Amino acid sequence: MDQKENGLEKFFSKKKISTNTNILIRYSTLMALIAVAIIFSITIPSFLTIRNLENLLVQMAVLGIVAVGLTFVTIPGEMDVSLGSVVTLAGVFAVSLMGKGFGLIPSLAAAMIVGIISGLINGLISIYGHISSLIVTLTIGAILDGVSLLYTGGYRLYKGILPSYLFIGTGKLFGIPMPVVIMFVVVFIGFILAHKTVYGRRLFSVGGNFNAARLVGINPKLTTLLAFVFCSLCSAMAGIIATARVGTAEPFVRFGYVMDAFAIVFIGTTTSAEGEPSIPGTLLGIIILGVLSNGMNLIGVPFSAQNILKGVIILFTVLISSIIRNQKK
Amino acid sequence: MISRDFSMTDNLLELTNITKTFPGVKALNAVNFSARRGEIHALIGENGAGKSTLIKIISGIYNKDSGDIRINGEKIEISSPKEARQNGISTIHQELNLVPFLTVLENFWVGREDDFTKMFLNKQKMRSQTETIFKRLEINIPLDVPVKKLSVANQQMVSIARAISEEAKILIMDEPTARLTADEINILFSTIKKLAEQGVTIIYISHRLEEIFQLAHRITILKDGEVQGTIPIKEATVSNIVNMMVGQNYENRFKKVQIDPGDKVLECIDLCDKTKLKNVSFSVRSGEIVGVVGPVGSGRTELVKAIFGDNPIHSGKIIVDGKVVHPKNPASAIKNGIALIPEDRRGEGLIMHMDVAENVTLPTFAQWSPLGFLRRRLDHKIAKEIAKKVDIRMASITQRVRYLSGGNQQKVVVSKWLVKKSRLFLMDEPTAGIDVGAKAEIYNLVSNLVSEGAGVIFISSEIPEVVNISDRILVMRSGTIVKQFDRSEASEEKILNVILGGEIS
Repeated sequence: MDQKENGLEKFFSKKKISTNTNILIRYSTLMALIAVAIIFSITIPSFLTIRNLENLLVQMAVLGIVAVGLTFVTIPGEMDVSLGSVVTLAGVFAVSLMGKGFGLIPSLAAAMIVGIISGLINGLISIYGHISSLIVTLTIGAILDGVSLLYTGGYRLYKGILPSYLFIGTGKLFGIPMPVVIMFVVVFIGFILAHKTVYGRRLFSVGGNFNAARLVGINPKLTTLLAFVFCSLCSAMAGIIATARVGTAEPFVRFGYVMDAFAIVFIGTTTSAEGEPSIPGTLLGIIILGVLSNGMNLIGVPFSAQNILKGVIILFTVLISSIIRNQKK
Repeated sequence: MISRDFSMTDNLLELTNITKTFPGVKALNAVNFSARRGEIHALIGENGAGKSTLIKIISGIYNKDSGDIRINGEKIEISSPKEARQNGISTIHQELNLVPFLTVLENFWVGREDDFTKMFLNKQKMRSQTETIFKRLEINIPLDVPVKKLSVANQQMVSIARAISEEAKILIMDEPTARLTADEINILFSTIKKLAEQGVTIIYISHRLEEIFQLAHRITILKDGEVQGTIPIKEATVSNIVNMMVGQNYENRFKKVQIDPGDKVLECIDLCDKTKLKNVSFSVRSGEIVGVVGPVGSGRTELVKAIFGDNPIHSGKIIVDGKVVHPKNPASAIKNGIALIPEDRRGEGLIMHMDVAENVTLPTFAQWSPLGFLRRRLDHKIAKEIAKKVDIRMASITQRVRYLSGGNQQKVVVSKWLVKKSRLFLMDEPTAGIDVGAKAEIYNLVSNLVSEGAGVIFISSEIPEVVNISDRILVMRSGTIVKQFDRSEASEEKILNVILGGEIS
């Protein structure tokens, strides 16, 4: 048997060559990261300091958690552009409950429930209503924004925030800032869930071929629905951290999150042979976007120019993963 | 109708020595074909005989390897559908190319709105021209209704009228009656006859001989990419057509192992679905291979999908292993030990970018993961065992199924149900699109399945293979079983006779 496999391995060696060229494309993302990091380290003295790296990770924590959630929605080929609105609304709810005298646990629970409900609404309407999730989440996002504004009357909330709540955003565990700890925990849970569990295999099957998944007895709609819920839960958690970091909840829309989270996931897809989203890819995306933003901030690139650069990066990465996918066809 | 004599008229379309080769297959070999002005010329042959390749060459979708195409005696080259249309050749495909949400009038002119002016639509002129053509064809369809609200038959009429307005001289119709009711067929036929009287040449492809006898002036019979003959309808009989279609050369004759059938694994009683199936009753015993044949649209796929819980049942009973079941979805059918090998291997059977192990264990991997965590090593071990058993030829168990050949891909599809230990296999065209050697392997695989006690429903469009492999053969037509053959009495000729609409009893 082994000998036979070896023989066939040789027989298929032609295909191996084409995979090798793909490996070049696949690792180009990682190599680009290393190159950018080296350039920043040489040109910016303050870049490669522990303090700055810690700063970088803290800056990326909220976005990173959102991106892990978004990865799950993109595996079955769906979208969620309401995630910025969920971040806002969850933060508003948690802070406002503390302002009304509720304790830490009920406030956190309220934020999480906001997440679960938004995810259910997004998923149920787009899956069972057969509507593009882009349109559904865009509309639901607008509704959630409206709820945030209406609920707060447009004011910032900061009353009654508990120190234990602030600890989530500003505290340290074993010397590591809490947001960073939570982000890595979420990345780890996301990795296990997507790549090591029955649920994850099912989710990838649905993304790979909806009908084939259905015909082996998988419930593709339920599987996708759970991905929407997980995504919104991550956004809600991000909302908690975001408000806990600054000590206020603002009912303002965070469009930037949507753009950046998609940038991260798209960068991640370029690391997969099939142009598929994955949690390791998303982690790489978080670090790349973090390094770029941080470096550009240190150099003093204006915010508007940063957006242009991010847009170019997204287009570029989408192009790469599209090339990978078409090569495979 | 048949009495018109064409011996005096010249050939409008003339094909000589058309040859077309696909990798590994000679689809057409030195085909000669001609059609006269105003003639309805039927093209007939089994699946894979080369009918669709021939019409695709005429309509510019494929390019011929060699041979000549002449129109009015003038040699032309057709290298795209557009060039075909410019030469007056129009094709009405099975899938109609209309835009569903546009109105009849808009569809009629879509893509050539600028025939009258360069900038603004001239709706008045469009409308009056459309009305003229509809009147000429005696079609009565409102112009301002979205096409999606029309019946299939009326949509077809719109397509035909559109072709005529493009001054089509040759109209190719591919199985136009497959989705029509009897009344609609009559209307279609009178339109076709009218067109022929007006001088349009019609190349008519159908599986139904009765239609051809009603309609055609001449028949050309194709087999294995070669023309077996062209005969005037006056001289044709069902039996000589069938004889020409069948021939006597099957290679790779499969040796059937006789197994004594056991208990009934499946029994269907008066099964109806909402659209297609009408009172289907039959049973499958363990150790038995039941072949199902019938023309496209006869309800074969709908039948197995109904049993598999993927096509809602309207009335009737499904009994699996002696118990009445109500398969609401594939998951519940799978629980009852049923497996579906779908017709569309790539679209429904496999996840192409996943590896062999992942595909093979897809229905089962959750079973040995009680806590919800994957056990990849066990997946690989089980997949390897089964791959060895059914001889999947692959570089390794982690090779993506996309890189396997069609035959090996099909073995992967069957393997996943072997791991699941299914007892009833519903195989929908399991040998479609795979080469001869792999076909033989699939037959052996099916043979092994039944010798281990499974029951198999084997759907195929290739009648010889069904005759070879099956213990019993069901012939389906318009959603119902019209005839059952036992292995001892089945022959390709008899089955073809039933499929083509000959006598049933």
